[in-house]
Amino acid sequence: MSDQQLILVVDDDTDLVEALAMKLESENFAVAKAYDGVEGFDKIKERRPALVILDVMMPRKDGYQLCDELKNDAGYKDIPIILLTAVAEAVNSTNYTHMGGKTTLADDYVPKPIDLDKLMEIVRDNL
Amino acid sequence: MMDERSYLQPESGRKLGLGGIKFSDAQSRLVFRPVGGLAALSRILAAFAGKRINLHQLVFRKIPVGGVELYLARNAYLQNRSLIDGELDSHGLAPAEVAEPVGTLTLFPHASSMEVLLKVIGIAVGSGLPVHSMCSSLSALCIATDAERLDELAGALLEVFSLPDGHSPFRYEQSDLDRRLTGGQGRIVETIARYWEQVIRIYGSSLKTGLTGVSVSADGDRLLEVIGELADCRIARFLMVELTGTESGRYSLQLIFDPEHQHGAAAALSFGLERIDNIEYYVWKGLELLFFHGPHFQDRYGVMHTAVAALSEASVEISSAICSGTGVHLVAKEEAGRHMLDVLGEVFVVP
Repeated sequence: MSDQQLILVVDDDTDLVEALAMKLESENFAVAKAYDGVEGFDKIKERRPALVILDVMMPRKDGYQLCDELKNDAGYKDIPIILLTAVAEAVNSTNYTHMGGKTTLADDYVPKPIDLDKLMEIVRDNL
Repeated sequence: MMDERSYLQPESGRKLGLGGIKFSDAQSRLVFRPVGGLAALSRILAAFAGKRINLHQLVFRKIPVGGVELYLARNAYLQNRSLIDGELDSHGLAPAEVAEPVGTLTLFPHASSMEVLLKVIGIAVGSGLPVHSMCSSLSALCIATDAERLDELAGALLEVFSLPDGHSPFRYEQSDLDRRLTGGQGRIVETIARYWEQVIRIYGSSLKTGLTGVSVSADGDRLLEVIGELADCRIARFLMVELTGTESGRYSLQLIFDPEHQHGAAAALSFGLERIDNIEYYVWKGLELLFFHGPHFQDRYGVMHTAVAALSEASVEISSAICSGTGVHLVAKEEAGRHMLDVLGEVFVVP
């Protein structure tokens, strides 16, 4: 266990968290889980992960807000963050665009529905 | 046999840990009982998919009594009731019961733990609160009760289960992004699954064969004895569960597990159930379970309808189905699983 890298998965879709955890564990990562941005930050303070997989649309504290907080904190800014972006072209909102996502300091982005093999590639590239 | 209630208590004062509990908004519960096979189910689901109404949860079962039970947002049902009723009526279908408002309590993760499952069933049924249904998804157990009783049910469960400090609130709280995108009203919808696509994208699927299932019909007290027998069998993990309560006070339970690492469990279970009076039960062997999940967000505009329509058209027989969380479980008898997978491979794709 001590030589396993810890990945934190933060998403309010509990089934997706479970599926991602199973995939990561099969690739010999240790996994921590959180279900919104507030819990996510608590988990990071509890045990520093090697990388965070972070959903955007979550209740209480969304992924953009958590990403901003981490990247503007000297103690956590070096933790790689991969954003999961689910809001697609079908959403008619002038307030949201993928550009909004790209103005964050996240290290990479993965669109939903997630290609798990692609996600694993991105995880390894960012560790 | 061990005391049928002792397994409900925390061992040595230690509560089992969960990740969280969530309450749904007010929902309507529609029950169709009895109902025919997949063709009838397909027509029911078409009535909702056609109106782009999400289903929060769905259970379809052929034994012991065939039926369909589905849950949808109460507002969505009330706003579309006449259209839905008209559509169903045109096919000679009508719900035997419409109960509202109900609410669902989702607790997670269950980790496929039979210990967690049996405690949840025992507490929910033993609490005296109405338990309309319960079913499993990949990570969660979802229990439906009356909308105003959700806090009571959570309180009963938290006598035995614990949540982490700083856990997500039970009721939805908007984030800043949500507030910005919705102007403070409602919730943004992560509409990624676009069901006007010819082939719907999902995350993945799995087919398990050679499984054991137990179906039980019993009143509340006898069901608690059944739970005790299941605990005695020391089956470590479950694959799927669904429980339905009826207005007569009886419950119908279906539970599926993999006997590969539970040698003798099916025989022990049959032996134990034989000793309980006033229950009906079946222990099935050789069942096949197909599971798939995706960005459904509770059957976003007809995932179940797409699956059921395809299976019905191909004359595939299934014995039960659940749509809960973001996953779908389909149960079939021996050697039908591969056919299910082939048929569904035409309408779903893993990107």
